[in-house]
Amino acid sequence: MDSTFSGIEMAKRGLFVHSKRMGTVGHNIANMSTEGYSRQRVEVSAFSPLYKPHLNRAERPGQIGQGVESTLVRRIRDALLEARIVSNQSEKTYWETRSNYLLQLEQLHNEPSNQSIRTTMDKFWNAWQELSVYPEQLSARHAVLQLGQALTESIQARGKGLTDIRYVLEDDIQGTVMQANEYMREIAVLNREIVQVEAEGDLPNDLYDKRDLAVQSLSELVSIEVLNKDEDEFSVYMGGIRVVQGGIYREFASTGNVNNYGFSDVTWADTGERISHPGGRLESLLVLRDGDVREEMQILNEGALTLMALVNETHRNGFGLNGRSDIDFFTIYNSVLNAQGNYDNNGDGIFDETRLFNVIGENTLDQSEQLGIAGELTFEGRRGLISVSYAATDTVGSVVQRINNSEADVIARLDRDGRLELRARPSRNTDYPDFVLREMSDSGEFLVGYAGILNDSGEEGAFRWDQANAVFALRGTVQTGIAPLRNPSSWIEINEVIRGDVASIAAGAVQSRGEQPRGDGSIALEIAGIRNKTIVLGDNARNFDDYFADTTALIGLKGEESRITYETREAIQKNLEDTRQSISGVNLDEELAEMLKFQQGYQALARFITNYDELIDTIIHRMG
Amino acid sequence: MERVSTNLANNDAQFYMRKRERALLTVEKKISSQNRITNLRDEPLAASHAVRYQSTSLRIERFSTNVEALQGETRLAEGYVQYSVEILQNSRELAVRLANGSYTTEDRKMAVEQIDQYLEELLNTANKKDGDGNYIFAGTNTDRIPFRAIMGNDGAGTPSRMVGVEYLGNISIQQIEIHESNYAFRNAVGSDVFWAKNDRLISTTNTENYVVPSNTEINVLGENIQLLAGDSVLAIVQKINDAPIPVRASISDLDGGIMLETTTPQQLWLEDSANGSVLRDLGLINDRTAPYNKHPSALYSSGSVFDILITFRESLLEGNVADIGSRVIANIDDALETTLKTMASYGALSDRLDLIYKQLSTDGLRMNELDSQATGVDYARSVTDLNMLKYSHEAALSVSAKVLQNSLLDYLR
Repeated sequence: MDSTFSGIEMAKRGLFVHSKRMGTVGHNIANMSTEGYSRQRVEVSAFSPLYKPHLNRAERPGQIGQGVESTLVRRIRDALLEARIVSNQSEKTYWETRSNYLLQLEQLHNEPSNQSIRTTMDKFWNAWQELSVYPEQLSARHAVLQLGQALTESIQARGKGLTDIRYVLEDDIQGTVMQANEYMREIAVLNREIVQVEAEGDLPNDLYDKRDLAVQSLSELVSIEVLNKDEDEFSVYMGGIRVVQGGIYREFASTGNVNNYGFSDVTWADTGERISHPGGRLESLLVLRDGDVREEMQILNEGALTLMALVNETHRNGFGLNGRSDIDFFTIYNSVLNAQGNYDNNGDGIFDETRLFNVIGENTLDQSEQLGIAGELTFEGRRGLISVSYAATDTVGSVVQRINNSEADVIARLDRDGRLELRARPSRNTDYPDFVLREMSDSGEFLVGYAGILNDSGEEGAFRWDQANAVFALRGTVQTGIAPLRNPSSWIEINEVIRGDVASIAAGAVQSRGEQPRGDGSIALEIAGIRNKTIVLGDNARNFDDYFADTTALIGLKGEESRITYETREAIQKNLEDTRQSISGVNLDEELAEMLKFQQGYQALARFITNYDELIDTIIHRMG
Repeated sequence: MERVSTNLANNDAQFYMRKRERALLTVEKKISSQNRITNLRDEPLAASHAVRYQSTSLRIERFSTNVEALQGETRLAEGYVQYSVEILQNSRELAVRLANGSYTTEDRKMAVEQIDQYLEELLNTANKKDGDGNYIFAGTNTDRIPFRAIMGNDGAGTPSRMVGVEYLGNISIQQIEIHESNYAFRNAVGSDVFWAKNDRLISTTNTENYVVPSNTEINVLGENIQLLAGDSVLAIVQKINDAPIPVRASISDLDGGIMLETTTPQQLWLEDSANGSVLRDLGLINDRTAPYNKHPSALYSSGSVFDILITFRESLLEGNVADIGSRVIANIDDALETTLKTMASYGALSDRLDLIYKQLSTDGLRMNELDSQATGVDYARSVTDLNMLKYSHEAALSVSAKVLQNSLLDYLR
């Protein structure tokens, strides 16, 4: 049997639901511009009618509706779209970070302009040309010194700029690691809260939004994916490894690496294992620090060192106006002070490495002479040992070229006197120091009897750097150079003897009987000609002009690629976010229309109550 | 999109306005810097070309400066050689006059004075300096006087006269780069310019069975010639003849010694290397330094322009008119030939420099043109771009202002 007041009860439920819906409209409007907010809707359904089939069901036909009830407040969103946004986000930030930092590198090149290293180097060669025309003059020497200093300063400035960028990258990496930890912690905390609310049967929509936002922020830093297989456990994965699992998360750490200038590796805080491909912004920073910027520095260092070595080699054979000869133009600082290049790497007081930069053989060779012997040379390169074979019909020049074209971290050349020089390059592997000869052996006689570098051929005669006194593998009268102090571009400078007395700058060559003809400018001319010399720099440069043109193009192309990719990723991201906005974003018109609807509904229900009240009034006051 | 959220229009407007502002800034930068490449990424390949063009451009400027300097030096030297030619022509006239007819002792004395004056003048000319104070005809020994007179007298109270002239310069030449790997000579070797006769040196030591004891080098006219242990005299002769120097070697019929002769008038320079003594063993030179190190026992004939005039004077003093008429005039003709040849080569060099200078000027222009093609701003295009961007920017702003203001809120009571 119906209750007399059941109508009022039904209307009251309606009023509650409508005011709840009104409230949600207000909530939506208020959060219209809140980042990550998804609009909410109150889900309503008709209240269970009277009566359900029970034993006490009234004996009358028809069910009577009991009005409305709200079941849930739900966020309106597309979970698949969210996943796409999260995965695209890290790609976008990867290229965004890369593009920004590469722009800084491009700006360091300062090309094409009048203030680049290239222009100062052009002017430096120009000064030597001037000296070759006027070898008797002191003023031409002053020009050489001044422009030489301008050159060393501009190289140092670029070197310093690159170092600064590396340090900024390092700070950025550490900051990013901390930020990522912070986001993961936040996700974990939210997970716990969400589980609690869910346990009560409610949907914590605003907490969901917060968590989604944290996930998206995390996806800017590292590449992640969200897996929600287990309803009670929200998990975030990075490259297949779970980083957040419900209320717990796995922390990142940054630990300094001694072999890499003390720059930090990103590791798992619990195991200390290195994280190699975190993706997103973090990976971009790591690739820039240990890849692009390091390569730029190596290219610059190799350029600076080659310049110093070639100018010195020629300059030593000349004489200055003050009669001094055998003077280096640039000072090259050695990393080790003993003549054998012995070095103590682990600091236990015992020498354990040999750090040589170059070796020059005893014998004078002819470029076009056929070897008449065959064998196989072994050097070390980026991916371990590399062998270069030579046949009896090869000429000296072709073997030299083959060594240079191989992936070995070694350059071969014939020096001024036609002797074979093997010189170390920057190490392509971050674990080894730059400009250190690491491995040299020959199964035949080329490096042994022919060029006169090694004592013995084969395994037993190999030169290996990872031991003290490795020089014993070399012939006694072989000229060796000690590995330079790291980062030559940061300390390159002109010999203080020359800075002290500019007359020490050589223009002419000392003659066979030691005469020093004043009008001889052949040394100056030869130094000016270094610009055209075939040298091996970077990957495939042929001379200094190529070197500058290639490095300029290389960094420019990298920048162009990063900008284009970033723009593409940005457009995709924009598109995805637009779609999300379309689904989850608040539309004011819509909300207002809803508001009107709920207002009207509320008013109508109030009217219903008044009417019902009148109905009951009839029973109470008029009856009887 | 089915459903448009209120924020979407706002987001869109912001996104595209940001993009357009960036584009506007880029175009503005291009126009104000007059450079199409603000950052390398704008046009990396054009930038790498521009880098080359700019370097080449600077080098062309350098070569032009070198050519100008060299042109000046060449003209100066040419002038002095021209003057020497005149002196020699005057001496020839004098010789012709003296060879035909009889002259009194007084006349001859006058003529001797005249010749001494010529000699003095010739020596002065050979010792001329250029604008920077460097000796022109000294090889690369430009700070030392190239020709030194040896004075002497007959011991009978006559004034001391020039009896010989020694060359103190060297035989190396300073090269100057006048175009990519294209060189020209700055200074001249005095012993080439002021030489009239081919030098000839004949060893009187019989060395038919000589064998080079160990690998070594000999230096002939500045050229190093490699000798191997076991080389015979004939091999040495062959190697000297094969070397790119104007020297002919042979075995003399006289004593079986080696004979060296320059094929153009110039002084013969011979030196052993520090670790060898082949030329000394062959009896050609002694331990002194070149060029005045010919072995005393060897037969040496040489003739500088000064020597020619000195012989002229000696013949005159001896009253040997026949000799003046024949040998002296022939010698002066040889001297004239050398100096005229030098003049001609200076003229040729001057022409070459002129040509190269023109070439450099056009090259320079072309490089600048290429550079501006690679990096320069196409002004018309940039300005059109700028206006286009400005126009669309304004349109976007006004549209946003209109779209963003309306909502249902405006129409509610």
